Parts: sequence; structure tokens; C-alpha cells
Amino acid sequence: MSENVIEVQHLTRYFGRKAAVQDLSFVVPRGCVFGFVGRNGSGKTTTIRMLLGLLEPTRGSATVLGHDSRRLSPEIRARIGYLAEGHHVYGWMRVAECGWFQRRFYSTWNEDVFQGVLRYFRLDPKARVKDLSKGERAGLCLGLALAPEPELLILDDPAPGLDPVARRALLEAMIYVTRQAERTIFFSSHLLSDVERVADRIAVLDAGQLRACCSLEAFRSRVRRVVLRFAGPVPPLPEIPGLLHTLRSTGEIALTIANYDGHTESLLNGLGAARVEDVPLSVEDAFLSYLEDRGERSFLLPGAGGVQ
Amino acid sequence: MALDWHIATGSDTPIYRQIADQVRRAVVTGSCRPGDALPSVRGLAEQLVVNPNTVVKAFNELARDGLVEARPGRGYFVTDRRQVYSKAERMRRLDRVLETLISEALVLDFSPAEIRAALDGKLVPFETRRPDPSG
Amino acid sequence: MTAIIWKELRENLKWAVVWMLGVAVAMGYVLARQRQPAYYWQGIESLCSETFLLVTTFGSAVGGVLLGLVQTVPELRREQWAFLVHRPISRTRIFLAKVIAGGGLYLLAMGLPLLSAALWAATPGRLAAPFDGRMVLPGVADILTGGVFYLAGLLTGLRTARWYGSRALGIAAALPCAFCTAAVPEFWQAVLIAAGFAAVLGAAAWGSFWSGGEYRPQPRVARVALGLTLFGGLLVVGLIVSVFVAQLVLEAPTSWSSYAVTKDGAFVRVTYALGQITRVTDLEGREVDQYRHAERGAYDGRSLRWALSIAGDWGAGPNHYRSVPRFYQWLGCSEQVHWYWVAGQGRVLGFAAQDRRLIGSFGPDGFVRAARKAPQRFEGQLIWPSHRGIGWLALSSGIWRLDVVERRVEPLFAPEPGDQIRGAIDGMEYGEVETPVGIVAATRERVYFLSRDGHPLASVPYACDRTRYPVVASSILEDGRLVVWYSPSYRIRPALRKTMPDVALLLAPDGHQLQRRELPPIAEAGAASPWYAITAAAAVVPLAGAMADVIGRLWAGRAADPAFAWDWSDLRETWGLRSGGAVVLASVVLIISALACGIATFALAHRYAFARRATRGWPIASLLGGPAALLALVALREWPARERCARCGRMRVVERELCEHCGVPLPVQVGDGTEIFD
Repeated sequence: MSENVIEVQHLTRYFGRKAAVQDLSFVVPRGCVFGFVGRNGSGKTTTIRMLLGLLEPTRGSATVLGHDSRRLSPEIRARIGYLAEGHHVYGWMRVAECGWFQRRFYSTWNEDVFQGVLRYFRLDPKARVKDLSKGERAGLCLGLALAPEPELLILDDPAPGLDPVARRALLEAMIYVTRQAERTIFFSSHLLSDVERVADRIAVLDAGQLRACCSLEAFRSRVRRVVLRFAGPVPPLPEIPGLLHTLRSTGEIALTIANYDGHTESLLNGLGAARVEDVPLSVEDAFLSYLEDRGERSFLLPGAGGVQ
Repeated sequence: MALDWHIATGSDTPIYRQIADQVRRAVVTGSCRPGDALPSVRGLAEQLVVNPNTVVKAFNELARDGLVEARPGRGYFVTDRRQVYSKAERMRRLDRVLETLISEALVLDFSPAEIRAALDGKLVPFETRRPDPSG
Repeated sequence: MTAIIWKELRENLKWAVVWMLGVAVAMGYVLARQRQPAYYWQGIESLCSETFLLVTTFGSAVGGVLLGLVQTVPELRREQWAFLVHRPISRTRIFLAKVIAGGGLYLLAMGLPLLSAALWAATPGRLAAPFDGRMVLPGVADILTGGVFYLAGLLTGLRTARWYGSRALGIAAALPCAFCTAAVPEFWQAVLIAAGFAAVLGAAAWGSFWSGGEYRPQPRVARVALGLTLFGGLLVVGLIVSVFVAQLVLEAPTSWSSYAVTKDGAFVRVTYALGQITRVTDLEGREVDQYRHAERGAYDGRSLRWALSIAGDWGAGPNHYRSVPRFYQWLGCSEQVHWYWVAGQGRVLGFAAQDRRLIGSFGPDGFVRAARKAPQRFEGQLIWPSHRGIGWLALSSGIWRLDVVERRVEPLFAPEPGDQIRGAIDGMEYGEVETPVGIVAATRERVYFLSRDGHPLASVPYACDRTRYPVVASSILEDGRLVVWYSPSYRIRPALRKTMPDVALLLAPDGHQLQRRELPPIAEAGAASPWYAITAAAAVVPLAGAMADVIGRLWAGRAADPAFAWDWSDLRETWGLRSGGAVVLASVVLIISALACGIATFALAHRYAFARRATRGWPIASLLGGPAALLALVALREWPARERCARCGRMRVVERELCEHCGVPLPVQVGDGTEIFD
């Protein structure tokens, strides 16, 4: 068994003049739950399509389960499960027919798993797919994706539009998959709380570029918010490496910094602040400050003296 | 162990620490006795819907703190409390907790006397404890 | 794979059924109209009738395209396509499954109605006409062509092209298939043509499915097929546009002339315009006044005698797999009975119009009722009938009188042994009313004027060389004098034909020659197409323009008689390039067009850093194929973005790992310090 389930090197994709994905390089180790985070339009779906060989990269390469993503053979595809946003299934089919249809292709199909998912979502086998609610359809697609017991499960933003129960079921299914150590999950999501719950490692994509690829814990520990309170007016700040955000108000300034280390700490301590406070950040807040526009915001009204 | 497990996402506290804190609280209040088994990593992960590695991380932190021990093949069990930290380290930690408590209580406009009284009230159930001889 | 076939069938069955019902209704309507005796003047053509074949052609082409679209357009949503394609089965097999399902539905929708129509028509009592199993072949050929359109429809739905126009080029490329299958004389040729088109379009559709609509990832075979398809489609579009432009620009000849003879026996030349006579002159060009009227420009043509054509260039009539005459020929309808010459049996068959059943048939031995066997055949082939009524039957072996009322047949006239009849018409007398007075027959050796009973009243030897002057016509004057006209074949090289005169013989009623006149050839005023039409064609496809000479020589074939061997000067004649200047101009335009396209392609290849072989190959293709090839190239490939290289400052294509100018790899993105990696 190889170390890495997915290896991406310099993966690039242009649509017209614009680069949707630029120079991505990361690896997904086996057994990991890998969260792919980014804003809308940052290139997550494009990346996933390239990984599955559904889209041709402009440049670069991706290797999935040891094979080039452009040339995934049917045997490899049997080991990859894919759940896409929108949960597409054929509307005219009945639920049972969907299962029958899918089962014909996979030799590793586990009917108990499929039936279990159907039961959990309370799906009537005779119901037509187009009459199902969004959550029920998501459950059906989940069952179809999990039943072949894939080694690698790729989920492209599966949660939006689902009710909380369906979302919770989705997460439970993901945890269930981790029962077997050789099974890997690669998922992209907007719901940061879900990412916080289940992800081991994360990658952050911003406008097509990879900004972070690390364990969740490392991410959290390296993004910090520091509040500096000054007795007098706030002095101009020097160049602080990794500065994400600045929030000024009277007498104090809050800095959100990535890659916070000893050097940064001593730099801040040397600014002559009355108090230097390390404010704990939730993972969600850390993500948000990481992904939001960089720069400075202020509560002071414009024109009220001394604000750049 | 019949504990009411719950975790909250989006909080300042990482999930693993929330889990560890709940175990600590249980041990302190006495709902967990030495020798009790903690739930299996998988089971707890599925119950809380979190990554099993997070649970493992929580349990490992507790083991490092000396609260639980890992018995291979059998799981995690609460141990007799052994102090693994030096007194200086423990003082440092106590200091930190007290800082937080005092500043928050002062902000709420309580006087030091009121704070002391409330503290005493809270500590009554634990009067039976003896200070650690290893000190 | 069967699961996918099942799924495709289930999804699209409803459309196929709707389509089938539409076709069945249309066919039923067409055939129902043939049952009613309203078609006295045309006869009943059953499955080979134009309207029926219109239903099969359009039904299969339009339906095929729509079916192809229906199978592919829902998968334009990427997630839908991903759901189909991401499974442990190769994409080729998925495509095959789609095509098999589509083909099955197609056969259901088109084949079932056609089969039903054929079985219906073959049953006696349905149509008052004979039936030959081969009459279903034109419909089958149309179905095969429709299959080509189905593949074009698949390609249109699959290909993610930037401009919508280039998506439909597949359908344009399929159009020549429809024309060719209708034009070739034999069914097996139509099958081959359809198979060829299907191979190319099928490969293109397969490639586009395989790659999800993009060009670059496709296998080589599919890319070539797609390129050919786009090129062909653009050619067709270009042809249609140039024909359209030519129609606007061309001046159709508004007047034309022919020879006639006055009732006094003088030869005149008559000019028409817009259906009316505008001039009558004698052979020296002088106006013949007696025919001019006081009314402005109106001439009275009633006293002129025209040359009624007896035989010409053609052989025994059209013999084409789609034409009814290959199977039977409608001779006429009399007393509620339709009479047909059936070539396969060599007999004349009669069908009652009321109950539409076979009454019986005529052979040389007489009339035989339907139930009995009738082995005797007429010898020879039917001469293309150009007479009214069913009074007599002209075959290459002789003329027979046919009395359909009395059910009698008797020989009227037979040519000399070894001779064959080439043509026969009614000899017309012009009194108050035109009445047929006899028969004029032309054989290989002689021209006969026969009475109604078949007596030769006059006969003359064929006065000209039959190979060069196969066109023969006759006129009968009121006083009994006869005229025989001879014209040169239309297949003779135009350059030569221009110089060959018509020949007219004036004969006494008993046949001896009174006068022989050579009539100067009439120069056609309007050219086939003016020079700017061919110039435009040279601009569209230089390849064709440059190879016109080769094509011309191939067309001419090898004729025993050098008069029939066309060459380059003859082609110029037909295309209207009359003067040397026009030829030079056409050549210059051709060269400029080819070079411009070649250079433009070369520039594109460099700008976008084509592979080495492509940089050499594409400009050559453009040189030969002209603007169509250039446009095909533009439509075919995706054009990558270009960015400035950090090292050398020039624009580089983003597809390459290294800059094509300086060889430097793409610089790694420099972060801003906020990146977190572990």
C-alpha cells in the first residue's frame, strides 16, 4: 500500500485567460480525512474534477491511487467513490432501480451498507427520485457512493441545501468510513464546523492558489489574534510578517497573524504596548480571518483624525 | 462510563480539549472513579461525530497529565491520580487559572471579599481532599 | 454495459415513440393519397414516390439529429456527465452503449413504420400498382443516412465549442451524405457512402464523448475525424453561401433560341423571352415579317412547326435505385384500370382502380388473366414513352398496338433484323386541333414515318453519324411534307460543339429528300456561370481550384471518340472563364488565398507554440484547403492563454512547463508570508 492516496504537482487549469487553479501541489496520505476549504469560486470543484480525470489540466499532474488522473482505468475508478454537489441521479428512476443500476458495475458492492443508508434516511424503494426531497436525494447518493466500499471517497461540497439531520448523517457516514484505516476521505466544504469536526488535515485554496496545507491543529495554533492596548495613541506599526488583519479602535489594535512564532512575539512586545493579549481563536474564526480580504479595518469614522 | 458527552464547534477551545476537560471534570467531581474505563475511541468518535484522531489526542493528553492510562488492547482507564508535574509547574498553571477567574470576577463588579466568599462556598464539597504529600 | 443500454432506452423511449407515430402518420397519409384515383397523370409510385421518400429523408435526418441531441444535451451539466462516466467501465463502452440504445430507438422509430408500409404495399389489394421488394431500398438508404445524422447530432451535443455555430458543423458535414446517397445509381453504393460518413462522424463523436467535449485529450483518430468533419462542414456552408451569392449576382439568361419550320417549309430561328416569342428570323438573320403582329412584341407561333424530339442522348430512361422506372412504368389509365410496364416480367400489367387488384397482363401472346401463369415476355426494353394514351407500346424490339379495352395486342411495326428502335413518338397533324396521325420512329439506322396501322409511309436512312448526332426530331407539315432534324450530342466537348451545326432535312410525303440545310449553331448568350463565380470558388477552396484540371480530366473519362473527351479548355468554357485575363485573375486569386491562409496558419502555430509536427502540417493543410481549413483549425483547437514570462519578458503559452522562448520553468509562486505548510 502506497503512502499517499493523492499526489498533486503543479496542477494548473485555465479557463480562457483566467487561471481557476494555479500551481497546486499537495499530498493526501492514506487513511486521512482531508478537508479542502475555500471560498466560492476558489477552484475546489475544478481541482476535484481534475483529480477524477473529468477535466484535463492545463499543466501539471495529479496521481490518484498511484495512477495518473488523466488515465484512470476502470479498475481504479471502482475504488474511488464520488459524491458531487447537487446529488445528481436520474430523476425517472426509482430508488431501488438506482441501487440495481449502480450495483451492476461494482463487484465490491455491499448491499447491507446500501440498505442501511436507505433505512437511515427512510427512503421508500419504490419512490421516484424526482419526488424525493433534497435531503433524501443526498442520502440516496450517499448510499450509492458508500456501498461499493471505496478506498478513496471524494466529496465535492455535499452539504449545502441539506437540512441539519441530513448533514449530521453525512458526517456520521464519514466517521463510519474512517473505521477502516486504509480508507481515505477527501472532501471540500464551506461548512467550517463540519471541517473542524472531522478533518485531520486541511488545505486552503484562495483564488486558485494553495495558501495552506497542514494538519488542523497546526493551522489553529499558527493563526493567532493578538490585541495590543496602548496608553496613548497607537503608534505606526512596523512590517509584521504573516500579518492577516488589523483592526483599530481607540487606544488598541487587534492583529491577526499567521505563522505566529517567537520572532513575531518579540517584535510585538517591543512596540511598547501597555498590554499584549493573546486572544484565543476558534477554528472557524481562524479560517475566516485567513480567507477574508487582507487589510485594515477601523471602527473610527472616516475623517476623525489620524487614520490611514 | 455514563457521561453526558457534548462538544461545541466554533468555540475558542479546540474539540480535543473540550473532551479532555469533560473527563477531568468527571474525575474531579467523582463521577469517574479510578479503574473506570473510558469509552472506546471509535465509539466516542461516532457518538460525538468527530474524527477519531481528535479523541485519541484528547485521551493522550489526559494520559500525559497522568489522569488516565492506556492499556494495550483494552482501551483507556482512569487511574489513581498521579501528579506528573512539578510543584513549580502546578503553581504556574494554578496561577493562570486564578488570573482568569479574578479578572473576570472583577469585571463583573464583585469585590475581593465577595469573590472569596463565593470561592469558599464552591470549595466546600471538596474539603475532604488532602494536599498532595509529594508537594 | 447492458445497464447503460437499459438506462438510455428507458430515458428516451418516449421520444422515439412520439417520433415513430409522427413518421407513421406521415407515411400513412402519403400512401392513403396514393390509393385514391386522383393521380391520373402521374401513376402510383408507392414506396418510391417523391413524397414518400421526402418523409423518409426528412424524418430520419431531422429525427436522427434530435435523437442525438436528446441523448447528449442533458449531460451538458458536468455533474450529470460525471455521474455517468465515473464508474468502473471504459468510456468507449459507455459511448457504445449509448449508440446501441440510440440505434435501437432509431430503428424502432423509422424502421418499424417503413417495414409496415412495405408489408402493406406488398399485400395485393392495397395499391393499384405492382410491388417489387427492392422498392423498399430507397427508404432503407434514407434510414442509413439518417443514422449519419444521428451521429452528427451526438457530436453537436457533445462538443463544447466556444461559438455555437461550430457545434452544428457536424450536421452540415452530414448533408453531403444525403445528397450522395440520393445521387448514386445503386443501393450498395449508397450503403458504402453512408458507412464512410458514419465512420468519420462516429469517430468524432466518440472522441468528444471520451474527452468530455475538449479537443486536446482526444485520441489521434478522433481528432483527425473531428478535423475532417469541421472542414467538410465549413465547405458545405461555404458552398451554400457561394451559391446564394451567385444567385443574387448572376444574371440568368433571359432569352433563348431554337429552330422551327414554317408551314411553307422555310426554316426559321425563333427567339423567346419570358415565355413569349420575341423574334422570328430566317437563317440569314433577317426578320420574317409575316409573323409579327401589330401588338407590341407579340408573335403568333401557331403556324410554326416545332421539332418534336424522337430520341436523344439518353438510353432507356433513368435506371436508379430510387426511381420507379427501374421497377415499373405507368403507361396510363383507361376505364378504371391502371396499366404498367413491368421490366422484370417483360409484360404490361393492369390493376383495377376500384379494388386495386391485378386484373391480368399483356404479353406478345395476348392478354392473360391474373390467376393464370404467363411465361411469355416482350423482347427488349421500354422506350421512354412520349406519347399520349395507351394506344401503342414502343419497345426497342418493335412497336405493338395495345387495345386495353378489347384486351388485344398485335405487332404494329418491327425494325430490320439487327436494328433497334431508339425512340418513337406520335406524329402530329396540325389542324384546328392537334391530332395524331401516325407514329414516327427512329431506329439506329433509319427514321420511319408510320401510319396508325404500322405501315411505313416514308422512311429515310439516318442522315448523320449516330454517335455525334444522336439527337433526332421530326415535324410534319400540313401538306404532308416531313422534316427530320439532327442535333449534336450534349456530351460533346463544348469547344467542339460550338462549331457543329444542326442538320435539317425537308422530305416529300413519300420520303425523298427535297432539301438539306445546315443550321448554324446557336451560341448561348448566358454563360453557365460568370468568371467571378469561379474566382469566388478559388478563394473558398484553393485545393479544388488548383486541382480542377485533374478533376476535369477524370470527368472526361476515356471516350473512343475524341469529340467526347473533355479537357481543361472545356471546363473553362462551362465555368465561364472565357478570356485569358479571367483565367489569370482566377489563378491569382487562388494563389493569394492559399498563401494568405497558409501564412495566417503558420503565424497561429508559432504564437500558440504548436508541437513540431503540427507546426509543419497545419500550414500545408491551410495552403491546400484555404479559408475552410483555416476556420476549421480555429474552431477545432482550444486556444490556450498566454502570459508574460518572468525571465525573458515575452508572452508564453500557459500549457507548457517550460517557457518556449527561454526554456525557463515557470517560477514558483512566491508567498507573502501567510502561507502555512507543515
